[in-house]
Amino acid sequence: MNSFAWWLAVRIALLLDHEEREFVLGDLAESHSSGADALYSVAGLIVRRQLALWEDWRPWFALTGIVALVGYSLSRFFASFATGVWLQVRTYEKYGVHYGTGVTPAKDAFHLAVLGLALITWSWISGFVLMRLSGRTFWLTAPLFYVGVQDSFLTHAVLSGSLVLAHPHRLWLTLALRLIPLRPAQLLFIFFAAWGAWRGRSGRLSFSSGTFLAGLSIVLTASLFWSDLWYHAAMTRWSEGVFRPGPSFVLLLPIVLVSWPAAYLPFLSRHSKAGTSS
Amino acid sequence: MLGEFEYFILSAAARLGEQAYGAAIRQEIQAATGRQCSIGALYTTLDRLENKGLIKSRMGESTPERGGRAKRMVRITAKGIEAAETFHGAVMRVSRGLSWACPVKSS
Repeated sequence: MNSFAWWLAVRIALLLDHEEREFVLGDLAESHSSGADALYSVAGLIVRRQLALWEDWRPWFALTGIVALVGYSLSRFFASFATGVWLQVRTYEKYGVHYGTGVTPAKDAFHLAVLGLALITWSWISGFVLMRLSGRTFWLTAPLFYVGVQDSFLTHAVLSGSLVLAHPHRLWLTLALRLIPLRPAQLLFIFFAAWGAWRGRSGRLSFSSGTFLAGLSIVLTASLFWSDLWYHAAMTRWSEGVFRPGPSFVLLLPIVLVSWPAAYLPFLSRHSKAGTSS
Repeated sequence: MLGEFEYFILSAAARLGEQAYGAAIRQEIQAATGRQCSIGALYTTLDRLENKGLIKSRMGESTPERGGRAKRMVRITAKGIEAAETFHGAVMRVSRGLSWACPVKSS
């Protein structure tokens, strides 16, 4: 038990800086601390270090701006992408026709291509900005962001009553199972968000690259908003006027929320150029 | 103004002189106060004191009894001595005339 506790203390001490790990484990060895004492001491120091990180505004900004706002909005767009692709493929496969609402297959393909590219860009940028803002709290903000992207839209849809599950009592199980990365949309998100986070960790992003990505995100966002309007018009026609799209700013809000980190990119890359990033 | 624990650390570091490092300071504080001094409190306070410029620390030698791991050697700065003197002076002044400020008599 004693040696296991020591082994565990040494393992969790990996969360400390290299120098501090040396000092602390050396002090504990010199004072012949028991395994339980070593574990308690190391864990206590890690907790203090982690709490101190939250005295900075950036992890809070990451938590509210990326995890909550971008997480929910991305969740909504990923759901739309997964559902949209699936429905189109099935419709064409089964009926070989397109519903008569004025939306052509070419428009469908354009919309899905723009949505797919936008999701890739947003995932990469969100991963990058999340890493840069979170710093050493990334181990906490990243899993929360993942859970938010996978589950928040479904949870909201179920709780608001706009979606009824076949087995409502299994909501938590459904949400937990959705976290297993099996679907193509999930793998897409994980790959590009992890790539962005990796680049964010190394801090390498030139000002021109940051500006290019921000510009690309704006173009994709505008294209997506534009192509979204076709579907609103199609829905209005199909429902014979029963469906009424909301005001433009309501339609624009989720797109703005999901793409705001792009506007932050040039600022971050300029700071890393000046060597002031942490 | 220093905090109580910061003062303990500065006093222990001053007393230990060239031998002031993490484990020795911790032991000194525990012996003087009779209270447990946690590693977490010690190292976060050492960082704070260093950020205030009251101590300087460097990596010391490693010894077999430490499992070959280095020590965090601590040296109190002139600013640290001044801060400790100010704190001590304040404690002495605020305690003047009080019975518990008299030297402890062994019974």
